[in-house]
Amino acid sequence: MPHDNQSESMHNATIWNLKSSMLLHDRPGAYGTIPASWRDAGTTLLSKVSNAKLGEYLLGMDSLLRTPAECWPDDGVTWSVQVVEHGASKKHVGGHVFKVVLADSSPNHVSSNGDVELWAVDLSAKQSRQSMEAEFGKGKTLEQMLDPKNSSLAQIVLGVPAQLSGAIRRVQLAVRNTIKQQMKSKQGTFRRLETNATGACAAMALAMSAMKCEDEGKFAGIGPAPKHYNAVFGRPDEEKWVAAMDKEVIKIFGMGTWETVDTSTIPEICNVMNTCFLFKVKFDSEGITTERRARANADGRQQKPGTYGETFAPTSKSSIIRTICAITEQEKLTLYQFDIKGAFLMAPCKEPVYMNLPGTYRLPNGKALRCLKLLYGLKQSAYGFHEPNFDWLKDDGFKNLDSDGVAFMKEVKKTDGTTSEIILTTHVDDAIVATNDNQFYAEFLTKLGKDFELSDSGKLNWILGCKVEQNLKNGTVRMSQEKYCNNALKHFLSDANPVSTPCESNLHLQASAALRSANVTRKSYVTINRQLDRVCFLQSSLVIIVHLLSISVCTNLGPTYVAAIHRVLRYLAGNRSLGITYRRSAKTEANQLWATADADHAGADDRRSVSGWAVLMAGAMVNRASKSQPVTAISSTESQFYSVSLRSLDCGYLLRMMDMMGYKQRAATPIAQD
Amino acid sequence: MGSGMYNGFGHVQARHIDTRVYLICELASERSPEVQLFNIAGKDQPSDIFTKGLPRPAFEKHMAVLMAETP
Repeated sequence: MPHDNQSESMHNATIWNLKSSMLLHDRPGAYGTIPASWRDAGTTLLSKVSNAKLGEYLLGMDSLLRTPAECWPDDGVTWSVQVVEHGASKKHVGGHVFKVVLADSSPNHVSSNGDVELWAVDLSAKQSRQSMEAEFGKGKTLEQMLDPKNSSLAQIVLGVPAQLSGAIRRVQLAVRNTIKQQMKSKQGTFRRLETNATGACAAMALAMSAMKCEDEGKFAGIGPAPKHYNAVFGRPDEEKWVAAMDKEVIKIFGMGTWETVDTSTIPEICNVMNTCFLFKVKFDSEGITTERRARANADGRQQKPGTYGETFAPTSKSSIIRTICAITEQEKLTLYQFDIKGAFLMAPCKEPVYMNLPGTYRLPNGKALRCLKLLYGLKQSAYGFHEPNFDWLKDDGFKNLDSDGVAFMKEVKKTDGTTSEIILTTHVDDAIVATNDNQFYAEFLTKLGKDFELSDSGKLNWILGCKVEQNLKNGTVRMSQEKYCNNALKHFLSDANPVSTPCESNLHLQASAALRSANVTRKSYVTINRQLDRVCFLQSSLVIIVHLLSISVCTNLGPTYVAAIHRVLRYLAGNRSLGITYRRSAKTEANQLWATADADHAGADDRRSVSGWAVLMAGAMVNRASKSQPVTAISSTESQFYSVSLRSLDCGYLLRMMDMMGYKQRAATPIAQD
Repeated sequence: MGSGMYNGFGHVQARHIDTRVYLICELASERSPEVQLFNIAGKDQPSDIFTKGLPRPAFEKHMAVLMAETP
């Protein structure tokens, strides 16, 4: 990136203003010229030097921090940091704080609107002391530590890369993890990371701010990966990214995705789309960059309606997944999973799609590319991927189960009279399989593997964020969502006192929009709600409260709402590992459903009733819901009617599915109601 | 209440109820029953958990039925 002189002078001016406004002391020179009143501190043990004295030493000192070669980001980024202020602080460990600013950095950072912004970080006294003691050992005076051969104090505190690379490395790993989380949740604080840190922390905290700015698009050139095509140029690692792009374009041509055509042959209705790149850095578990990947995407926004068909990839209903797990342990089937790799790139593109080469790659004049296979970013990719899979399964003798578009079943009678069967349901590129004949399943996989690139994950243990444990000996299948709960809690409420129920009994969420607290945004609550909704996949006890909260999040975010959502999170904190266990039982007949339905008459603000129901099988629920009834019921009988009547439909589709699978229920489904 | 669902259609006190929910009468008809309704006491109703917030004893009791696991 070209160096902007004006920005630089502005930047220096800003720092100077900050210093002159905040500094009460003259800036100290080299150690020898430090005023006598300060020099006393130099002959005292560090542990006896007060924070205020230490601060005076550090004041005004600046240091250059260069990330070590083995550290991330390996772009050779340097930060020049300076201690500009210190003072007592109750908030910081050690009761004292140093303000460190980013005075300069390379590559140069200019915000998107041309302004230079000042990035500062607070470093506690304890952190500085720990780092100095860690570096030089305890029981030394500042003078001993500050022997000229050890260069400046600031370099100790702010990190000499060679000496502190270990510390930087630890911090850097933590930073990267945080940034990963940040990318996911777009919230949280950085400060949490500064615990127990060494001096390198300060500099790395600056790096964090820089990363954060990068995330917001204010900084250029400092993130691990460029945000867009233009950002590649001017980066220190420009060549590596260009090489990655070359590799991608060659790979796509190699796969036969594109053919060149004359632009004159392109029908008028079709746009010639641009191709964009998505950049990603791959790290190994140590946090070292292993690969730079540039993925070519079609700019699907430029596709005109009418030039493509369906745009969705069907996924299976959650109740179908649970039902398959329940049937599995009753019929002594085994659960497997596999997924289809490089999903979209394999599927043929039926519609006419024309594209330009990405970036600075050029085709001869009057030529364009026609897509023969699907590419990420095209509107029809998801459906186009589903379709060949669907057709393949049909051709292979699978029958589609009525109740769900993506549930399939195949039966083959063997010579010894027994039947081999596979039940299969897909979630875009993940598939769950239940089978009674492992050999038969292996044959099926080999056959499928000839036409699709598969990764066989063996026994089912992880699907849609759920852990599935099948115990063939005891005849149980257990599903739990502990990891998902942990993630949800980590973002929103890391330390919570567990409670035993997710909501108060007879909770009433009052509408009081005016009392919304200042730092609460609707967006963040929508995020929590969404996460909780996913947790409901198994944590059925949350269904009603999440239902109520989802209604409230649109209309009011009053204190009762906030209290209610905190209570749910606290409940979750104590019951993360709670799951569902399907168990084979000798007492009940196999594949017998039973249902229960209930209604809370006129419970909501608008006098509408809430129906709640569950369908159970193999000793636990397979389908459940909580819904506001569409009508305002006049009597509780009417609300019960609604609830029970609609529930019988739910049983109906599960029964139909089981019927097709060959597991017919003998007796009528009992529905319990009060 | 249970009997109402078997033969309540057209009863003078139930005429305000939308006819489509009388589907249940058909499904539960004695000739070829698809579902079979039975009464349980309100306090033993596991679906209570899906309609309102419950105090702890009831909550834990219903959870054991629905999830085969207790909190």
